Amino acid sequence: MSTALHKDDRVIDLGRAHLVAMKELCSSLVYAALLTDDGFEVVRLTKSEIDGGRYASMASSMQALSEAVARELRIGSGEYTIIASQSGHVVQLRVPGHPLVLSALFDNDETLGKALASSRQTAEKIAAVLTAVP
Amino acid sequence: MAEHVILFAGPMGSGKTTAIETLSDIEVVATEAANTERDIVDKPTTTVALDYGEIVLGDEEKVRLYGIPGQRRFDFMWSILRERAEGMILLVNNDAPDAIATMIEYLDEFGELYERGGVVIGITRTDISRTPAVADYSRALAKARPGLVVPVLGIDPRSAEHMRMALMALIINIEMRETWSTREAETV
Amino acid sequence: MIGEGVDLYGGRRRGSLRGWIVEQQTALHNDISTERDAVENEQPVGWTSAAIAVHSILQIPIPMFLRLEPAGFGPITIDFRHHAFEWGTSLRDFPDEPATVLVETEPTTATEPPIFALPGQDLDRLLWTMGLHSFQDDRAFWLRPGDHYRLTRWPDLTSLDHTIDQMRMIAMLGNISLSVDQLAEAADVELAVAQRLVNALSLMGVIDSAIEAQARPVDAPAPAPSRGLFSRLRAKLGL
Repeated sequence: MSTALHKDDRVIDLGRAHLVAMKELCSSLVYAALLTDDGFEVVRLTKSEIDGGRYASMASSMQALSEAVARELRIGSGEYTIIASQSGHVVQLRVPGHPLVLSALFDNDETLGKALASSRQTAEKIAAVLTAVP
Repeated sequence: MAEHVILFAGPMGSGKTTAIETLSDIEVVATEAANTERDIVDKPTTTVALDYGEIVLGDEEKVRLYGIPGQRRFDFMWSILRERAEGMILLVNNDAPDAIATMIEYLDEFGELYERGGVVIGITRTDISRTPAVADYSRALAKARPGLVVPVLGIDPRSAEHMRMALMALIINIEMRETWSTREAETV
Repeated sequence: MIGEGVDLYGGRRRGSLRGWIVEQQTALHNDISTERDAVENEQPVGWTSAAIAVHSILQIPIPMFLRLEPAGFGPITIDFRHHAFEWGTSLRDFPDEPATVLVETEPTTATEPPIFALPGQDLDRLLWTMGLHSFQDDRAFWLRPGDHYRLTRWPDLTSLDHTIDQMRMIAMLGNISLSVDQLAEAADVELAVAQRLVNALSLMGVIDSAIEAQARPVDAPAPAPSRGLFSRLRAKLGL
């Protein structure tokens, strides 16, 4: 049986590298996590007051519920999910072709458009690298 | 609109999603994700938010069936749905390691529902593992939580007959407990 | 095979084990109130004799086999150590009132191998069916007039042929102590229906009984309203 993604050092390392790169491009990024479909944290950018394991579970629930709503409404597969709050917004989307989700928290200094763009870019880059990994 | 919320709880692989599919009048809304813990329970997917089904009793009344994820890391979903629930069907698979202890843990988690008599315990996969016997669960329950008797049934979640029986037993036990609690209060 | 055995105190018992069981039955009969005198003088027949034998055996801590042979049917073998039985006839074909049921006991030991392939069938299923068909509509001999009953565990209804009324009565007994009269009134069933259920539950060992003074009896409620969720669900599911 192949190693689960959240226990695979190669996946963890490349995930971390891309989250760091995302932070360098987007200073408003407060927190980001890469997680498995079923709610295990692969890697996160540290924000000490967040329970990373618990957040990964919640993010996977949110991803699954969003996709269930999209199916129910017959509006195609979900592209991304946004939670807009007073102090920031969470952008969440799948890593294409892999059972992984990228979830990122931006503060209100960032426009939503740029937050979406950088999240999508990062997810696509992670997907491309993972696909190339044997 | 009158609505009644029934939870389906229990460890991963105990048959919650299947049980709701068996009872539901509508196609079940599922939130399945690829399971990375196949060493624990060997199934390809697992519920990560909730399952949702319905029994429609009329234009103005429904029984809403919510299946919650079995893994403890999703216990925030337990908290959310527990608030709304009238009763719970707790499914425990008989081939799980220490299944009786697992049952007690879940009952501790949903103690308030249990105290209202709002729990039926369904023991699944008794065809895979014949022990413990269904009566052993009752005895353990009597020891751990004396004074309250709830239905403990051997169940196949694929069986419409079994699931209907479990649901009926749950509802009648809740109703009887409400009836007698009121009367005892009046008598005292 | 009936032979000499060991009594509860470790000494050799004189006479047969069956004779000892009959002694116990007689002692039980002597405790029953005078209104049962006419019944006490009759010899129990059919499933009633079998139920008395089973109940007696379940009260004694000696490992035992029991063979029952209803007239016209093959033998039922019970191994109490494993709470199991074996019978070539399905319980769906259970004869309601066989002319006779032969009863034969055989002591065993805790370590003797089973006499049929385990797991066999769950003994509760046989006790439920037998309990419902014994004593006609009367109280089982070991129950006392005026007793109040309280469930100690639910029988596994998915493995027992039962009615909705029986489920309702079981739920009642799970939540409050009731006499048979109170149970029948609360469930809006005939007294005989409630009595047969209590007989069966008692034979299965899933109810406790207490005399009226020790129970905390309450007035039986009116029959369950037909407007509750249970009734609507029952109608929807066609039960």
